[in-house]
Parts: sequence; structure tokens; C-alpha cells
Amino acid sequence: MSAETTLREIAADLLGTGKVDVVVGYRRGDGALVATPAFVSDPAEADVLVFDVTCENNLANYLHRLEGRKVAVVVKGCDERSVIGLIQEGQIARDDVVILGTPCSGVIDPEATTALTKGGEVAEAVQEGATLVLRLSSGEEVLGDLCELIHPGCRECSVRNPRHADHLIGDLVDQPSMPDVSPDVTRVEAMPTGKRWEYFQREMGKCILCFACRSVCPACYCNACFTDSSQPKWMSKSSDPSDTMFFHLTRLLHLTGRCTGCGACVRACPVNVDLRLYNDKLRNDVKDVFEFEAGLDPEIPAPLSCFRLDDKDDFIK
Amino acid sequence: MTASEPQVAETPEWEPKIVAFLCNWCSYAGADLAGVSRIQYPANVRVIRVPCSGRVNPMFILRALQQGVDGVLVSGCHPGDCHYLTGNYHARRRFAVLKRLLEFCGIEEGRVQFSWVSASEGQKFADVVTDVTEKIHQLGPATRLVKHLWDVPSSVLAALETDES
Amino acid sequence: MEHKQLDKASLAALLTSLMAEQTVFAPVLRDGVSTFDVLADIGDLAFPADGIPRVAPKQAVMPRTEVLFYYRLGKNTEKMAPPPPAEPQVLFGVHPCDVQAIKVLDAVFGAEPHPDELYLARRRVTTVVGLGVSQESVPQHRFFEKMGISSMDARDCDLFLTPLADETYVLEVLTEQGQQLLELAGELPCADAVALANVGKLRKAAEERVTREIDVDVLQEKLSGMFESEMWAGIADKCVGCGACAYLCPTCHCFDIQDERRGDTGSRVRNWDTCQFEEFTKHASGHNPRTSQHGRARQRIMHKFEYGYRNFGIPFCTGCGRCIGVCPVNNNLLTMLDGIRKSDPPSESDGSPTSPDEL
Repeated sequence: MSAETTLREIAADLLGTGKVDVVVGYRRGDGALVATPAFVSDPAEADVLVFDVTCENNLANYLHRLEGRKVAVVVKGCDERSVIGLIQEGQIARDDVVILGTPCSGVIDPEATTALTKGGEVAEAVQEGATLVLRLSSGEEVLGDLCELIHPGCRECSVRNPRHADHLIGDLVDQPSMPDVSPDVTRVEAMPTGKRWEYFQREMGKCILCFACRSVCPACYCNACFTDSSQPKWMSKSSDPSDTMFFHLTRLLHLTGRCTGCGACVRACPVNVDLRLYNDKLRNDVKDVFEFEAGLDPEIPAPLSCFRLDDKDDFIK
Repeated sequence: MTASEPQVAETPEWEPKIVAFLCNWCSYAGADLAGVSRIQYPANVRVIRVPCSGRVNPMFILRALQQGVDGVLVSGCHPGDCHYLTGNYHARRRFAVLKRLLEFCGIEEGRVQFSWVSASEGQKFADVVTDVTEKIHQLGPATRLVKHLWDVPSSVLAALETDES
Repeated sequence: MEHKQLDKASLAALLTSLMAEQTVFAPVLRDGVSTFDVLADIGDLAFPADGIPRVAPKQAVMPRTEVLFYYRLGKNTEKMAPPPPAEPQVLFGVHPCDVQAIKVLDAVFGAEPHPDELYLARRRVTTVVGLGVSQESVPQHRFFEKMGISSMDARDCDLFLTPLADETYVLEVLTEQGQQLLELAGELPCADAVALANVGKLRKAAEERVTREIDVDVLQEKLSGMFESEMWAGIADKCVGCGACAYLCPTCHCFDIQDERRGDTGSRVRNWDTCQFEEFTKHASGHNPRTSQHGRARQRIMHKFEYGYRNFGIPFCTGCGRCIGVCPVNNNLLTMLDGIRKSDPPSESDGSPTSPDEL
């Protein structure tokens, strides 16, 4: 039985038996290479659910607004960490969520597929092992190597297989070992301060403060975000570069120890700000300094909400 | 400084402006002791008294840099001595993260510094301020996070003169 | 009406002379993303294949942050001063659907009896050079042809640039302002008959692709009865409430006004804002009349195709498709418009508000 068939059967059963009120999953969107979030509450509609390399959204983002209802959610390994994070922070109850874990080797990057098909419209996309077969509307068939088509962040993923799934959808996939530190972080850490500043300025210069990054992030669930506070007015939403930097620096600090590296923000950004670099840096530091990785264990609190008596303070005079 | 940065005049008369967030119970008292003891130290620091180093929101530090201060010092009680028991432990973690992030983004090392100064350490307070001021002198005026939207163009300033100014 | 013909080198030379005199905005590439921004170096110019950069020309006529006035606070007085006047600028290479989008902004900010003088002053010193695109077919999500706009539509442009297959460009001079701009560049050769004929062919072919199949009158009528429709929930369920669609939209123009003060001087500024943010409708009292995503999703569509169209006579959408391309959850405006078109006609009295004030 294919993973998709398993998913649909389980979803229909969960809904039919009343175990959950809604299944949050993916359905086909506009085009063969687009999946979109789906909220299924009727077991008869479970057939719309899909799971493949196009399923890029982190659906844990919707759990906060569904709090209190019994929800089943389709999560990849990265998304599952967000679910665990929400449980650890008391935002949802473990008993209220059924985790439908989907092993994943990466989601595709639309820019890569567009480059491959030279903009040709894709009528059908079929995964055959490590190859993606794209059948264009023109009739032409283009083959792509999945490793080259997936988002850059997915290439460094160390959580391809879910660990807390109530139901495992599909077979476990290979988990190659990944470098401890992202090579990009190492590269930037080695730059002199002036060069690091230039890079930061350049990236921030692209940002238009649309807040797509914040909106798709499951860890950004505050009803009263600091950006919207007027008393006090923490932040101005102006085009002054320093205000853009204020937003990103503060959001990064708020995410420290809570960001799971799912990449939703990176994919949502309409102007390709290199958010991954800065989030990777902080995840790295958290691992280094606090020996902690977000979203793996629902019992362990995030590092900035606790402390140890022997925390290092050699940087403090 | 990189080629693309605005050239801020570092005149011989330039003196750094440094903001110091001092916790009320230890560091502020320590600063007070330095004064009472007539210990000489550079006058570049403007003190903002907070109840605890744990009260210091990283946004305060960012805002200070936006306002154009050349350096920020945050000082609190030694670990174990916090008047509120655990405030400085949380602050310690927060500052560790903030310092690494700021440096990664290209804010010069030494612009933002931290210290533990107790109420009896008047001399230490003076030493810390001297150290920090010297470091900021070396770094030069801060330009990187300064918010220029607050600048009024010189062509407009004349029109804003009031009788009171 | 004059027509000039340029090759790549003379186009670059034209731009260089314009850049020496005015601020030139043009399509450039920023790390793989096409945006319409200040052209600092002629080498940065990069016309996107379909002529539509990800970030719209909107920011050139409606900056992300704009100073309304400066002020100084005295003990008992306050003094205000206007900002320096807008500098002349050129928008070089604007796709016809983006030119029509600027018309929407002109209509809103120029509306009597209180036109926005700041916007109009900047608009008056802005010269628009349209860009013709001759591609055979456009990506599915670009639907300007369904909105009645052709990719060679030169309406409302001061100058219009058409790239030809032989790598030359024909520049049509359409207004006095366009003529004056060209005078900054010196003599330019006139277009020959063959080039003009080619432009004519391309224009005709482009016009034949215009279907006008999106009937805005039907949409407006249907929408007037859809305030309580269940359609909005379907969109709102997925919508994460970011501002990507609105900020990239060439017609969206909502803003927030803030004071930015340091010491006793400051400025009152206008910043981009969007109805998609929850706090957009938050009152000073703390009350927020529109707290649901459902209401916000509805508002955006209504503003574009009901209230805006009804009050100004032009739809507040020109079919660029950016919103569809950029939505992180694949909400699709075309699907929504289709749903609206197919919905039941409005009943006699369904309690829907007839003016935005009643919302």
C-alpha cells in the first residue's frame, strides 16, 4: 500500500471514529508541483490528502489556532519537532494531537524545478526513487535528480524520520550523518567583522517587513507580537535599515533555543533573505553552549527559560 | 569600518557616549561607592538603573545602539548574589546568546559588554568603566545600527527654529 | 509622435545619462529575486523574462516609509516643516499591468475633495517608461490579459520601450514629459519603418491575447451579496496572515501613520501597512473591530473588487499574479474569483454593508 493510501485510510478512520475533529494535511494545489494545506473534517473527503516531495509547509503552524480541538496533523521530521516544541511550551496538549509522521528526504525548491524545466509548465510530477520525472504540458519529459532539486536546507537535515509518530506514514528513509555545524555558519564566523556586517546589511536590505517569516513559523505564536506593541512601541515598521535589523535581531533572540530549523521562514520569504544562516548560527550556539536542540524531547524546557548554576560566564568581566 | 560605511567624524574632541544598565542592588551601589570614595574614572558613562540585570531586555541594548550610543555596558550582581535570587542567571544565558548574535551580524566585539560588580566593588566598577571606555575609544563612533530616519535634514532644521530654542 | 530606435549600447548610454540627472528605478536582480529598485549601476539592469519583477514599482511612487512633515517640540510650542520636495525620477521598464496599477494609486491618492498633495507632487516629477513584452504565452498565474490589459499596452506611459527580436529597442515618445526626459540624453536615432512595423505586429498579437474574461461588473455584483459567504472561511483557514500578497501587490496602498522622534525633533511618517495584519484595524482604545482572519481575507477581496471598483470605477487589481506566486500557503486569487463568479446571485436584502464605513 502506498504511503498516500495509508494516510487517507488512517485519516478517514480517525475522523469516522471521532478520535479527531480535523485532519490537517496537504492537498494538491495549483499545479503538479504545488501542495497546499488542507483541513479535512469529513471522512469522505480524506481522499484529497496527499504526501510527496511538494509538501513544504510546516503544518504545526496551525495547531495553535486549533488549540482545544482534537487534531491529527501530517508532519515531516522537521515539522514534528515544532509540534514537540509546542507541547513542551504548554501550547497544545499531547493528548489533543495525533501525530501522523511522514519520513521525508527533502521538499523541492520551485526555483530549482523552474530552472530545470526552463519555465515550462509541469502537468505531472512522479517520484521514481531518487529521480523526479516531470511531464510538461508540452508533452516533453524532464528528469531531475532529487538531491539537486530539494531546498538547500533539506540537504543538511538530520531528522528525516519522525520520532514521536502515533502513525508512521510510509517507510523510514535513510538518515545520512550531517555535519555538526552548518558550513555556512563556519564560513561567516571566520570572516572579519566588517565583512560580516556587509553581509548582514545586504540581506537585511532586501527585507520589506512583510512578516511572512513570522507568520509561517510555528514558534511565533504570540497573540501580542512585539512588533505590534504600541505601548511601549518596541519597533517601528519603517524602511530604515536599522528598524529591519531590529526586527530580525529580536525575532532571532525570541527564537533562540526554540527554532527547530524547519525552513518554513526561508521558503516563505518573497525576497530570499538568508534567514537560514542566522537561525543556523543560533541553533549551533544553543547546542554548543547549552547542549540543547529544540523539539526533540517534550520534557526538556528551552534553554532561555531555565539556567544552570555553572553556566559559563567567561565573557563577563 | 568598511568602504561603504558613512564616515562619521571622529574629531580629536570625540568622546564616546556609553550607556550602562546597572542593577540597583549591586552594580549601582558599587558605582555609588566608587563616587563616594572619590575614585576617578572616565565620565563617558550614562547610567540607567534597573532592578536587576535580568530585567534588561535585549531590545534595550538594540534601541541604545539605534539611538547612536557608542557602547553599552550591562552590569549585575555576581551569580548567587542576585537580590531576586535567579534574575542574573537568566540574564547570563541571555547575554551569552546576544553577544554571539551581535558579533555574528557584524557588530564590533566590545561595543556591548557585561560585568558582575557587587555593592562593595567600587574600584572594580571604576576599572570596568575605564576598560570599556578605552575599548570604545579604539573602536571609534558606532555607526552600524544607528537609525537615520530620526535625522532631520539640514535644509529643514532652519525652518524648525522656535523662539524657545 | 516620435519613435526612437536603440541598440544595447545606446540603451545603456541613455540610461547612464538619465542616471546622471535623476533617480532611475528599474528592474534589477537581488540574489536571484527580481525587484524594481534604484539603479545604482547600469550593469544591474535586468529585465525579467515576463517583464514583471517580484517586487513592484509601487515603492517608487509610494515609498515604504515617507515623511509627511518634520517637527520640533518646544516647551509650549510646536513647529512643523514640510519635507524637501520630491526629486525628479524615472521608472524605467514598467510592465503595462504595473502601469495600470499606478493608475489605481493615482485614483485613490488623487481623489477629491482631499487629494494627497505629497503623493501627487512626487507623481508629477515621475516619468514612466513602459516595457512591452512579446512572449507568446504568460505563466498561468499572470492574468492581466483576462483583466483587459495587453503586454504591449502603452496607455498612461510617458515613453514605451519595446524590445525586438534583433536585440534593438523601439522607444515610443507618448507625452510632453517623455519628450523632455529624452532631451536629457541628447540625439537618438529614429526608428526605421521595419522596426515600427514589428512593434505594430507585436502589439496586435498581444492585443489578440486579451480576453477580458474576468468580468469585474459581475464580480462586483456577486460580491455585494457575499459578506456572509462561507467562501471566506476556506481562504482564512489556510491564510497565515502575513503581508506578502499585499506588500508585493502593485495596487495595495494601505498605510499606517507614526511619529518618529528623538529628543525634541522628529517626523511624522507614513509606512506601508496591510489589512492582513491584525493590528491594522486596532483602535487607540484597544478595541479591534476585525479580529478574525476570516474578516481580513474578505476585506482584501472586497476592497479590490467591490468597494474599490464601485467607488472609483476601476478594479483594484491588474492581474499581475504576484500574490498567487508568493503566497506561502498557495491561496490563489484566480480560484477565489472563479468561486465568486460561480456563486449564487445576491438576494434582495442580506444585510451586507453598502459602504466601507459600515464595516
